[in-house]
Amino acid sequence: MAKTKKLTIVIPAYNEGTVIGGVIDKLLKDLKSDGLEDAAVVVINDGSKDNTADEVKKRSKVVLINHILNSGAGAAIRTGLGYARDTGADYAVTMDADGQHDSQDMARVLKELMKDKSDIVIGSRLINAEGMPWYRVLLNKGGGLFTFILFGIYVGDSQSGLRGFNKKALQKITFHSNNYTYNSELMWRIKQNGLEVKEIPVKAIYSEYSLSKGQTNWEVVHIVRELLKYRFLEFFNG
Amino acid sequence: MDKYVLLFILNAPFVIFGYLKTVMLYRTKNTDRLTFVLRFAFWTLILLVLVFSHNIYNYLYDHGLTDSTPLSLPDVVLATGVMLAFSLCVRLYSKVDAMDKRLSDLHEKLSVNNSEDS
Repeated sequence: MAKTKKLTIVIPAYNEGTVIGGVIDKLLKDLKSDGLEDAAVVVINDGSKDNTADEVKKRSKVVLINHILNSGAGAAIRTGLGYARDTGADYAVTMDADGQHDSQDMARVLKELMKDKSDIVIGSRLINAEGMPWYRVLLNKGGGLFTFILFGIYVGDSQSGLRGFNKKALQKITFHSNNYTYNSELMWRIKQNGLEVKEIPVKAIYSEYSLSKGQTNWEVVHIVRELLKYRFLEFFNG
Repeated sequence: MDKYVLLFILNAPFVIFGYLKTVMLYRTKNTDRLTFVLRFAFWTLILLVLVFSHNIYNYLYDHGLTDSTPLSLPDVVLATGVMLAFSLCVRLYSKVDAMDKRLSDLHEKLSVNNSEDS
């Protein structure tokens, strides 16, 4: 892997104090074994009320960005990608803080991105959804379908948190959603900017803890309302 | 003056403004071709309804789809008021949305400036 390329790994975290330490330790270990120890690991602590920030501070080689206010997953990702762009990263990969993603899969996303055939690589949990609860499969597929109906872009796992962006994508993409709505808005912006997307299969590690996090069914109602609002406003205002 | 003509005169500015904005957004490359076509079709539909509102009323009345009386002056005021309220709603919504975006940007910049390297 080209060492001259600058990589930033973005991890949004909200009240993940019990697991984030383990996630970072494993990630740093895997990065070292892959020869990527120069990668910048950036944790965006989205106004957590627990010891998330303290756990991150204990680890070396990690940048901690503290959101003053709890703003949502979308805002945390936007801050992280903005940081990657402003610090001149060639590639940025986002991954969840709840231990749902294997850092080996992160490396695979990066490897695919480095082939320079796609601007964005998405780690899809739905290509091989074995082990994923049926309601999560339904929720994610529904999200993908709704994104297609509203924005005309179909991505199998549009709600996946494991995504890789190259420099072009980092420069071009801006989204405004603060909560989980950003997943669908991101796909819309990808389409608007004519960026190339590729999905590769990844496995999702579901634990009781990770299942308790993420989007709830009620949040879907809010997401749908937000997306309709964006579509409506953009229709009249551009 | 014929009430239908009055309805057209009072509401035509909204449609003209809609057309102008549609063209402006497309020319400044702030919108794609499909959205441009959809916006254009939307304002054309409104324009057609305004131009042929009397014919539409006659058609509906003749086919038993409405038994309301022909357009009155309060109806014209009401229809124009709805258009005005809709325009104001969109403008206000857009302004709130723009402010929300600016606040988010400010929050992010402040957070990044206060970031800690360990």
